[in-house]
Amino acid sequence: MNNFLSNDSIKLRLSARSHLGIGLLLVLLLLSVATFAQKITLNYQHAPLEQVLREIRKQSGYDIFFDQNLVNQQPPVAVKISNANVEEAMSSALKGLQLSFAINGRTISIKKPDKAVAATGKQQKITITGTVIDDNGLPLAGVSVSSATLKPVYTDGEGKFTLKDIDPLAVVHIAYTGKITVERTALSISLMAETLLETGSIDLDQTIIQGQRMAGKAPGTFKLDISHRKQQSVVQALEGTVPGLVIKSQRTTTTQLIYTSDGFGVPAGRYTREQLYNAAKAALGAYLDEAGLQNYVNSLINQGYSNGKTTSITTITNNGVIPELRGAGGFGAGNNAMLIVIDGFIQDSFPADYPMANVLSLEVIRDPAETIKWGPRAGNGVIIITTNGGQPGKLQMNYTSTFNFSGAPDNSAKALQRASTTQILDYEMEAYKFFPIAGAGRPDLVYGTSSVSQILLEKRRAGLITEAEFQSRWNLLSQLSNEDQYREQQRGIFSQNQNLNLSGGNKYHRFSLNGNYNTSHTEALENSNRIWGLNLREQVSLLKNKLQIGLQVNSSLNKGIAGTMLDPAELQPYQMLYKADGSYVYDYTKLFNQDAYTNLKTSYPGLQNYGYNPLEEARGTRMSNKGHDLNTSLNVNWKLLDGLTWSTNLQYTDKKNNGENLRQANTYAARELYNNYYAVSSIKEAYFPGSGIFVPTPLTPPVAYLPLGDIFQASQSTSNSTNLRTGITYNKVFNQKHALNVGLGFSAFKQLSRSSSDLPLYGYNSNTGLGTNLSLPNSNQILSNVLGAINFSPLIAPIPINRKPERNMSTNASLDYTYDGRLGLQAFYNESYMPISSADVYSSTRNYNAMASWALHKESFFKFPLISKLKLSAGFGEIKMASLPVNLPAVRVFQPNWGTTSLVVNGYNPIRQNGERIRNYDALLDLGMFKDVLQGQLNYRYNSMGVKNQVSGRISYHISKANYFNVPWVSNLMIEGFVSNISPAQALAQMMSTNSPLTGGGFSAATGNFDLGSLPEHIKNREISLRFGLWKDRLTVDSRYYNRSSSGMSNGTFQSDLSTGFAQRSLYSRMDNKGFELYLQGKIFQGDGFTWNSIINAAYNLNQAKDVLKPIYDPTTNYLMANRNGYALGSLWSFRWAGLDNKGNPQVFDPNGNKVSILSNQSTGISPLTNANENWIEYSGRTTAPWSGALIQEFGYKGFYARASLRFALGHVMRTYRPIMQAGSDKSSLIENRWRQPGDEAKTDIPGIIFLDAARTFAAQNSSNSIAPADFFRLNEIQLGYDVPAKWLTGKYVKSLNLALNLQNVALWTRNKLGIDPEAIMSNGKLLPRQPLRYGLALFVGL
Amino acid sequence: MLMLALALPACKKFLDINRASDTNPTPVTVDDFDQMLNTTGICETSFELLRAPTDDADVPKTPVEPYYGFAIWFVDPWQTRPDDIYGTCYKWIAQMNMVINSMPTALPTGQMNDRRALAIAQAKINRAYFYFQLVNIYGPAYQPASAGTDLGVPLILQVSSQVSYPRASVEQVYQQILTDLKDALATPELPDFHPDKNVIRPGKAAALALLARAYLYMGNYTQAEKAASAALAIRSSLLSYLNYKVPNSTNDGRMVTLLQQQLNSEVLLARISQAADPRFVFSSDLVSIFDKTNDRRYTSSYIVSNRDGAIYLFGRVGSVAPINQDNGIGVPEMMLTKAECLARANDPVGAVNLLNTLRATRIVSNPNLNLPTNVTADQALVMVLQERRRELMFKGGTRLFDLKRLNLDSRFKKDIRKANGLGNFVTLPAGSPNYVFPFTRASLIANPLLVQNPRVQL
Repeated sequence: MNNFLSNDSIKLRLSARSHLGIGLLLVLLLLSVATFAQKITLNYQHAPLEQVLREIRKQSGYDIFFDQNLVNQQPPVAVKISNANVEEAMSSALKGLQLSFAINGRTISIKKPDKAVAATGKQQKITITGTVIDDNGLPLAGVSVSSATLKPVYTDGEGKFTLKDIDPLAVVHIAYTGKITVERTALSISLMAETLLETGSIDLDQTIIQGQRMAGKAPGTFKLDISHRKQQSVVQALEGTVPGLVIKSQRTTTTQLIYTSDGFGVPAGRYTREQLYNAAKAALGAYLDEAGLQNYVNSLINQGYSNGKTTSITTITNNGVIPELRGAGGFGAGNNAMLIVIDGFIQDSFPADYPMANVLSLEVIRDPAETIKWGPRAGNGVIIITTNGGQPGKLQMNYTSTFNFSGAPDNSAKALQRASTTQILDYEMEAYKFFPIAGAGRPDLVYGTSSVSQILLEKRRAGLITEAEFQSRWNLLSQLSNEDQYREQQRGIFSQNQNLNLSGGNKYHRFSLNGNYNTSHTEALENSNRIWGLNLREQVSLLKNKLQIGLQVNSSLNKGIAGTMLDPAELQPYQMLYKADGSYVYDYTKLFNQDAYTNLKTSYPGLQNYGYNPLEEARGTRMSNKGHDLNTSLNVNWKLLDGLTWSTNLQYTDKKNNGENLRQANTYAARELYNNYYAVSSIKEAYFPGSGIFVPTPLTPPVAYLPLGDIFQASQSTSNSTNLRTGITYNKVFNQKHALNVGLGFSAFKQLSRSSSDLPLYGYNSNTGLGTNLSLPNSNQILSNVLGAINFSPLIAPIPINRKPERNMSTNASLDYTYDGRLGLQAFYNESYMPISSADVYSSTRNYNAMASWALHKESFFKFPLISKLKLSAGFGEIKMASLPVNLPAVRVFQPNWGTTSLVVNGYNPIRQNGERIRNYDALLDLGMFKDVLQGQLNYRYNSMGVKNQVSGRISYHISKANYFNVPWVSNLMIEGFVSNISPAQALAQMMSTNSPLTGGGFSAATGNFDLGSLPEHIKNREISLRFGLWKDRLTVDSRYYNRSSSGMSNGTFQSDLSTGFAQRSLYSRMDNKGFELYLQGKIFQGDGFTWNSIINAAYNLNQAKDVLKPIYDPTTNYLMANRNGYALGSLWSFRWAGLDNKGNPQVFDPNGNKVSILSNQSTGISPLTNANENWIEYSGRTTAPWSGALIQEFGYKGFYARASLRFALGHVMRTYRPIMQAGSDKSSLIENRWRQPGDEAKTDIPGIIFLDAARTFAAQNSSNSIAPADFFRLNEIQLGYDVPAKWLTGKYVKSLNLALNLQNVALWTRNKLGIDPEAIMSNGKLLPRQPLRYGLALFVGL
Repeated sequence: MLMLALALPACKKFLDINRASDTNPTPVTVDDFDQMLNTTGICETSFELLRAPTDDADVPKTPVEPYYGFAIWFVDPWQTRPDDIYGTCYKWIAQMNMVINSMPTALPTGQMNDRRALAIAQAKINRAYFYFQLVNIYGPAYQPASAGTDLGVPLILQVSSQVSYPRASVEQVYQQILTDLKDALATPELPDFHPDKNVIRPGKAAALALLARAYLYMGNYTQAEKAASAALAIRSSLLSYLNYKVPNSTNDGRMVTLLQQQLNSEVLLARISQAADPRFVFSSDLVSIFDKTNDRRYTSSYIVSNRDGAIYLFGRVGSVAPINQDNGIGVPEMMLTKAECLARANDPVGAVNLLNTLRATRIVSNPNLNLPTNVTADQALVMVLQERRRELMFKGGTRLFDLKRLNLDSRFKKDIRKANGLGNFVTLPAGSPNYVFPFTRASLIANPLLVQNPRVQL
């Protein structure tokens, strides 16, 4: 949360324990309405003392502290005074009672005379300690606590502070980043325990107004303990520390069966080899001899034209990691990720590597009522990162230096279950019986993709080499392994971060300057990243604190080279990267084999080599980016007159990124492109007798249309936004009875995003930055050796620019009037405008509400001692939706050839507002019972349309505060429950409300400048939490159950009826999320310098898709992973595995329980899977763990500390990899266990090698036998640190010194038998290198 | 509120962003909807597949599915492949529906305001084109007796991604086509051709050409003749093919890109198929009706592969490189339509004269160039239909649609026999249900109201 900006809902809660020996007095703090006149009139006959005291407090504006039990014991009193001063009123009230009072400043304390130790004396100094916590019970760090005579101290990471030797009557200022100032006497703080304070001068009742607007606030914020985490990245700090938060890898693989085209005038797979031969003979008999025909058929089979029938297309998408809270929250890609906000600035993506050294606090917001303000993207929770603001007050310098290092991830064949050279060669030898390769005796002419071993086999078969020659070369091959060469190219992973923080200031001016320098590289070749960051916070107090100006600038420059991750699975294991002399070894499996290339070169002399080398490619490719990121925020708060405040918040962001992509001339990519445009205007296809191969021969001399040289392409993206919010508020109490708060505000927002790419420059010269001119032909009939007729337009076609402007504007007004603290009237009005066209036409969304309230408990006739608070409110309001056209997402493209602009609509989103007016009627009950031990709020809203009935509310029962509660070892016990029901219209209103100034000045940290044109989901959330502390809070437990459902139209996720003209349609759907979270913290041992804390955090999540469209059977991975009603998102379905048949084919059970061999019909090409249906598949489990959590142990001894964290995820499954077992080779080591002969089916479930059959592969890879449990426990982290004792540093410049050592990814225990790390696996089961053991070293120096 | 009132003029200015350059807008203005008619894609729907089931095409040596399945009339030629024709036609229909329905209430933008009527007329012409293609692909040929009950295609005139419609009758679809075209023609703002030689946007010439087509396929020859004549009154120029060189040489000057169509003085309605699959093999039946030496339409269109000896559509040189194909309606088609109507109206001389005018620009001068005019009306009709087949080969489905309508006439009905590439022959009897394209499984699942076209095992 942006501390400086926000005081929206932050409330300071101070809990303090005095060293005076008073102990934990349960007191009720009554806060005053700020006022100076204090004439008091009282008239009570027989009233409880507390009631009288409340009245005095109300009329005088003084705080009154008293021991609740003490006051309750007193008999009713009678008082009759008029226009008395405070002292007189107090004397009268306490007349005849065994109580005394003391007035200190504006605080009255009531004591038994014998215990009022410090009440009157100045003789004794006290020490006060306390914890500053916010409204959610979370500690606030960096809060300044000061008094006139003492230097300020600041609360630490746990919100704690200590002020020593203070006069009990000295006034203590508690200031939170300049916004919230609370002034109390030291004594009163020493008496306070868990007392709710509001900001500055706001009446407590304001919280209720906030509550109404928020439709039920929930304690939905989790603040992370980030002490001793400075050397980590944000993703590491989040892992395992927040109940229900899971870091998920977004790497998915989808496979689709595609029927291949046939090379021979026959449909794919309809004919047997024999039929193919006959057809070849009929067509080519005149040209080919017997051997030629055979070879031609073989070549067709090999190219997938034959019995294979189908091939599969696999798509891998990698979106890095994302944090996901409480399971998935909605449908659609990228919909599950949480929103990340750094210092109030919304981030486009999850900054996983953000250094914690720069982070002051890390919070996770889960309460939907709160997250909605951040816009639709925040629906799945918000992570709020606040960067170091330093601790203003005095000049301080902190230096943090961290280093992290790990060895290269193990990418060996063994670790990734890849086949060795021997296994591959053995496989190919057997496979060759089935698939003679293309080339048909003339592999030297083949235009194809055969590997060295396949060509060797072919040459042997064709008699081009002797058996002895073959054997010797085969043996040579089998001794090769590129594993070492690949490993040589890997580097360790390294990152270092230097952070210098300078802060200081005085009464009028505080600043914090934070410089950050970060460099890192991954194991990828050439990868490097550098970031320079500068954060500035400046706070100025002028005109006797009446004018407060805050400026915040977060800026960074980054420079990086993407680098290339070399994947050993790309090549055959015997394919070396370089020779002993360092020269590259080429792989010729991309387009033409080496012999064919040599052959082709005779007619195309300038042809570039078709050999590929991943190392050369990586070294010759350079993708770099340079960018800057500037986020600024200016806050002005000016108390113009008494009660009149003008507030302005101006945010400006500017982002720019320039990408450069350079491919050197010697890369395969550049060479191939050159070859494609090395072309002729006339060509002849020459036929080589007996080979079945045709080689193009140019009839005209080839011309190089593309210069031979580097290729360079630049791209740019920029985005900048300005957001201005300004407003005045007026707070005043007239005649002690009339309290008035008025606010008026205005805001405007604009944003422009733009991205573009330049045309590639060919023949690029990096010195001049220029490319060579292309010599484009004046003919449209140019023929390449590979492409056929060449289309030159891709070389010169303009690349469209993306440009997206956004603007909106809003006004707002609010009125809050309270009479005598009893009767209230609140009203607000918000209106937002957004443009809907290029004309000056805009639509507006309007929301107003008015509410009247009556605090019954403040009336004199109210005499129900059990009920401490009873407030009734009723109100009405209206939301007038914008009148918007149906949302037709479109793409506008300038067509330079035509001089026109075209516009194509590619979606239809009917969920739009159409000027509806939704009236709402509210009734609100606010109840406090048993001295507010039980508090509840209930809000019922009736809407005229849409979600008709909404019930929101919360109830809290602080059992341990109750009178009857007398269990000494239970220090705290509290039950809380809340229900929030946020309709889409209300969510819109909520987003709009962020533009209005808050009472007392300032603005919400959230900025609701979102497209008000799309309706948010309807969210219902129910939550119950139980919090308790035992043995003086040595054991604290926070447990909660939640049940959330979000529903609405989800767009673009369901296939449409094509005749509608749209590919996708919107459907109403719902997502239910239920779960349980537990956070248990135990101070197992404390004392004698030694501490042992234990934390258990655990979460169970059950998420279910509801009302989703039933997926239609289709043998694709998409179908097997589709959302289904009643099942969690990310669930897997599988065919029911039935082992191999006696021919080595996979079998699955059909719905009747019969075993069906999956092999496509040789004459129809149809596989049993083609005609299967949904009853053939079964549920295999979910891929996200329902159970997750961590066990954390913390030890401290004197300055030493240690921390170990064990993370677990249980109850989920993963799909493990099964080899393809068809043409080409599979690089999985499982090929070793393949079925080889009848009888093997008893031992293995890896099918035997056959012709191409994608359906068979699909069944083998997606049956129940590939499912394995993914449960794991991971010893995530071990940390050792040492705080150098202050006494050792005395007299030095260094004020504090800390050293920490850190180990990450220490150990792993899994339940699967294969030893697979469930977090290093792709969705098709292929293994990724595991995260290696990582060492971290961090140094903190305070100067 | 006072502040608000004062701020309003400034607000308007602030909110007046240049949406015109927003690359991802929601269309709301006249200008936006007008731009929807500029998309080249409207003119680039691929109808290659419609060649496959005709007697123009032999089974190719390297076919791609579903081409092969259609070429030899399989019961289920689609298998699991998507139907791009269905989806693409309806995609453009939806865009046109948006223009037609939203334009009247679209927000005005400056000088664009007076283009509402023009844009609506042009959208209706485009919509009529796509419905004509759809009803002829997925429905049986128009027969007055049964058109009211024969199933056509879903007739969608509104915009929604949510609502599915059942198949309308062939009659309903044709009536909509006529209504749209007549509406367009009745629009005074519609010029003969769109200004700036922008062939993407149709004019009156296009509407008349389509109207002539529609009437011809409905068998309403009087109206067809009238419309064709009206179209020819607007434009009647013909390109001379006589200087065209043979393929494989540097530049053959054919007008097959959309930009070239702009300069093509024959074009009434511009349509091309982009990136067409060139693996198309001329049937011997088609080759046999050409003068293989003199007819430039043939000599400039094919190459003989030295790989398998087959006659491929020009563009295939040992590769899968795509070429463009002209799918539009031009002056020649109007002349042929008019000639057919004249022949059917017992004016053989008028008909043959039109043919000879056309042939003079297509065939190098030779003794057989001019067709005899002293023929009967029936003979003239045969000549017209043969010339039609030559001139309109591969033109976006005309041969398929012609086969379907001519099969209804006992004089012209024809069984088609094709080698299946494996030494066997398959025959498609005249009037077979396999002429009608089936819907894909995906289409049927997505729209439960869609009734499948029956096909038979041949």
